Formats: sequence, structure tokens, C-alpha cells
Amino acid sequence: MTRAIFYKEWIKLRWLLLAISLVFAGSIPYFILNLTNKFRFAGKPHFWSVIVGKDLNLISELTYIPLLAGLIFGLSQIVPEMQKKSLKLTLHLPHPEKLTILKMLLFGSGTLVSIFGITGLVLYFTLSIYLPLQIIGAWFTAALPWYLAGLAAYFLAVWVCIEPVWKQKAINTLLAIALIMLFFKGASTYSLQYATPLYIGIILLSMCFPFYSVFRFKEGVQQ
Amino acid sequence: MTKNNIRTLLILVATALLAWVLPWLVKLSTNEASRYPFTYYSSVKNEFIQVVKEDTETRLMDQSGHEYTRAEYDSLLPMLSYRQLLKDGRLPDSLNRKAISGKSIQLEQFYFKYSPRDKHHKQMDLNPMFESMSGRVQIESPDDLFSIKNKMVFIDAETNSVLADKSNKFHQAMVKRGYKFPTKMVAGNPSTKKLYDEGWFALDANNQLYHIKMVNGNPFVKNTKAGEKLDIDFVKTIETQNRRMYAFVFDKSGRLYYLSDVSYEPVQLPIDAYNTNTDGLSIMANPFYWNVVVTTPAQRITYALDNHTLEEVDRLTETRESTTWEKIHPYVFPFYIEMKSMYSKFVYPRLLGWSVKALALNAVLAVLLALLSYRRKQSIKPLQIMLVLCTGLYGLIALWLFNEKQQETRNVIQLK
Repeated sequence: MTRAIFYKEWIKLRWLLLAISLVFAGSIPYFILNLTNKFRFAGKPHFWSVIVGKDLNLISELTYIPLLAGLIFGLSQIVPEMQKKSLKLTLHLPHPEKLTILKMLLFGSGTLVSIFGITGLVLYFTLSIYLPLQIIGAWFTAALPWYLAGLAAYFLAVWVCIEPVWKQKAINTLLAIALIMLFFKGASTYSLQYATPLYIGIILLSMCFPFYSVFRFKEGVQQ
Repeated sequence: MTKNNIRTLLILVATALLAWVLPWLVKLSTNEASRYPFTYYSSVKNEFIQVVKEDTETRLMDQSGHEYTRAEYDSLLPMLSYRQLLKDGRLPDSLNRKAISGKSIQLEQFYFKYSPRDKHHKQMDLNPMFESMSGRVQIESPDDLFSIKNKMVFIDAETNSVLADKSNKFHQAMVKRGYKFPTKMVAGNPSTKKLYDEGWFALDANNQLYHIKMVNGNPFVKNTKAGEKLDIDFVKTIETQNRRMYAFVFDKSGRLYYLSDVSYEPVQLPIDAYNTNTDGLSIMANPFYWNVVVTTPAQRITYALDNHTLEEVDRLTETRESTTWEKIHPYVFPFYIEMKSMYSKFVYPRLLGWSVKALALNAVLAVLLALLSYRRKQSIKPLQIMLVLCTGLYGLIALWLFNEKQQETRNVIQLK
């Protein structure tokens, strides 16, 4: 059944997955070209000093991309299920409902983590050709909350989408926005380094939230 | 994992979020500027002169309330306004039996500023090591940067590789002088726009403060011995025209010193106990006095210290009026959460403002909740009452956000 659920999700999301992967993979040559271009104009020694002195982060254009990816992925996975009323059918499969939802969430979060992880690692190692670990380490310390925000946004989007009551949907959306805002409070490179446990906590909690909406959906809670 | 368990989690998360959002909204709507007036010690009148801003009006006045015109203000504070006085041809030749000129004032003038945010933030472990004796007027940027955390390493920017010879030379010189890695703190000015270069001051693993610089391409490493005399909390360097000092050093018992150019001798400033985590400091020095301004969360003390003996000549203590937020929050919120702080650049949740006074409102809200449950013929849940008693408005709103109506829960189906 696990393979069947994963295959169903794959069929539904494969083109979106490809698009997201292309955006993330495409960002790598962009960041490298941008960096080498700045090196040519300012000179490497000067530009290194600028990066250190002004706390410049050249991958900061990545800030909201994982968030958008998580959000779009979550919406694309659940909205069709809700519109075609196929979630009801999915929950009637000869398979425990909680496990069905869990596997759907695992497929979504697993593919997102893979895309974030693989492209992040490739970017890290490519940048290390041009820059010392002290600079790249700092940039990725700043980037970690952005990736984590993408993952949290995915779970929160699923939670909001499955919720059957519109009033509750609105409340959940506000709560989700407040939670996501916490990931973007950093002003300088290292300012969010002590907040990582909080972000991990938010992700673990938001993994549970979709099940609350599923309970309510299954109960047929209405306005 | 049952539905009720997740609902409890959601209520707790919503309570925590509200403890962050609600106080933030209240602060946003009641924020008011509470600035202290600019204060400077007059070397003519020997008392503090202030610039008091009231709405659109700016008043220049002394401590007895006497007001001055702008020209009078400049004359009373020749050390602050010497450039204006020079332009007007009004700068006196001597003051307090000491000959003065624009150059002599400049020589003894410096400005130093410390904020708790200087200590509570982290920078990349990369800095430039300038040539301290280049013989050039303009300090030149090197082609490499050094990392000092676990080992002294110079990294060349052109090739992005370690400069083995230079790194070894510096690392060995440091180890030979007794330097113990890892480095706890490094202080210096990475800018090329400074009067001169004195390299870096690094606190080693044994709390010893070392002076490290590059002289004619060779390492200069010296234990300042300040670490033997003081339990160092924070160091911030300064360049002054007269090269009287290297840096200001804060120790862990709240004392402030400057590191003198004479064998790095720490010289203590006669100010009250200083807290590097909450207190701001600024020093405006002139040939006669140092204006040392210490701003704590509750008050501001401005000291006038004699430039030569560093003895206290005068002090002015001003207390700050409480803001609307400070007045109301103890009665409305039992606590609140802040992610950012004016004392630190690090962002993480901080539980602040614990107040017993809010328990009165919490109790009223808890009774209200019990009454509402009774009217709706719902059972009174002791845990919900406890939540509202402890968290007040936050808990009550969170309960309302995830309130399950009777008809909603009528059709309870257990998930497989």
C-alpha cells in the first residue's frame, strides 16, 4: 500500500516536483555567476573584505524560495483531493487512515527535504571553490531557517487545506502566518543561530496539526 | 495521538503565539519615544548643559533652568563647538589657565560608544591583518584574511587557499608567547579608514589578553597581562589622536578600564557598577573632561571626569518616565514573549515581564469562562480554568480559537 500511495502522489505531483527542482537547481549557477561577476568588478580580496565587513550574504535571494516551494507543494497535494472529494475515497482505502495521511505527508516532506538537501549541498560545495568555509558556513547558518520555513509551510498548508470549516480555516491560516513569521526574524548572518531548536519544535508540532483537520474532516464537522 | 491531544497542542501553541503577538500589538500602538536630552559638561561654567527637545521647540539650558541662545551655547561648550567658534573667530586662546587651539583640542578628543549589542552578536571568524608600520598615510587592505578561532590561519582571497608560511609564522609566534587556542574573543577595527593600526586584541582560552599585529611583515605578539589582573568580560578597541589608550576593557564584576599605552596598564574609570548585558555607554572626551554617559534600563548617569586624573568632578542622574506599555502590561499580561531584544542581535524567544498583578484579571477571566460553560450547559473543565488562570487573555483567546461546539463533536468517529 505504501508504494501505491507514493505512486499516487508521484503521478499527481511529478511535474510540480520537476519545476521546483529546476528552480532550486537553476539557482546554483545563478549564485555562482553573480559571485564571479562581483569578483571581476571588485577584485577578490576587496570583495571578501566587503562580505566580512558588511555582513553581506550573496545567497539571501534564496530567502523566500523554500517557503514558496513548501506552500505550493502543500497546496498542490491537498487542494485537488479536496476539490475532487477524493480525500474521502483515500480515507476509505483498506488501510489505516492515520497511516495513509502519514505516508502522504512523508512523501511531500521527504521530496522537499531531498530537493532542499541535494541542491543545498551542491551549492555549498560549489561555493567552497570560491570562498572560505568561514563565509559559506555563516551564509548557510543564515539560510537554515529559510529551508526549515519551507518544511513548516508545507505541513501548515496541508493543515489549513484539509480543515473542513471555513471559519476555522481562517483561524488556522492566521496562526500559520504567525508561526512562519518566526522564521524570518533574522537581521544579520548569525542572529537566528539560537532559534534552531524552536524551528525544529515548530516543524514537529506542525507535522501533527494536519491530523487534527483529518479528524474533523472524517467527523464531517460543518459550519 | 488522539484528536483531543492535538487540540491541546494547538491551544498551547496558540497561547504561546498570542503571548508574542498581543503584547507586540499593544506596544506598537502605544510606542512613544523616551529620549534623554543631550548633555555635555561645560568647561567654562563647570556644570552640565542640556539640549532639551520639547515637541517642535529645542531649548538649550543649564541645570538651574536658565536658557541660552545658540551662540551662547557654543561659547559655553567650546570643547564641543570649537569648529564653529574657530569659524566665527570666537575660540579663546586659553581656558582654565591652559592654552587651547583647534589642534590641541583635536589631539585629546575622542568618542567611544558601547552597546550590549556589541557583545551579544557574532561575526564571521575572518579579519584583515594590516601592516602596522607600512609608512603610508593610508592603511592598505591586505589580499588575505585571517581566522583565529582554533588556529591562526591566513587565507588568500585570490586562490581561496591557506597561506601556509604566513599562517605558521604567526601561529608559532603566538604559541611561543603562551597563547592557548581556542580564541574566546577578538577585538579590533577592520576598517582602513582609521588613524593608525594597532592590530588585534585576542582573549585566549586561559582568559589572557594578547596584542597581535603585523610589523614589517612579521608577527608581533605580546601578552598584555591584563588577563592576570582582570576577569575580562569584553574588549572594544579605540584609536585616539594622542594614542593614550588601546582599548576599553569591561571586567565581569562591572568595572570599566582603559588599556593604557604604558605597558598595557589597565586604568579604572570611577563609575558605578556597569552591566555589559543591559547598559549602554558613551564617552566624549576633551582636553578638560571626559563626559561618560551610562544608560541603564531605568536611568542615565552622566559623569564628568577630569581628563588627567580621571577623578569624578560632577555627575547628573536622570530617571526615565515609564512608558504607557510599562505602566499597563503588569496588570494585563502575566508575562510576554519577545523574539528580538534591544540588548542582543540574537533572535530567540525570551519570556519577560512576569507579573503577579495580572492574576486579578486572570481570575476574572477564569470565572467568566466557568460562567459561560455553565450557561452553555457544557461541563466546566478544570484544566481550561487553570490555563486561563495562568496565562490570562492568551489562554482564553486560544481556547476560543479552538472551541469545538457541541453539534460539531456529536458525530465522533475514531480514526483507525
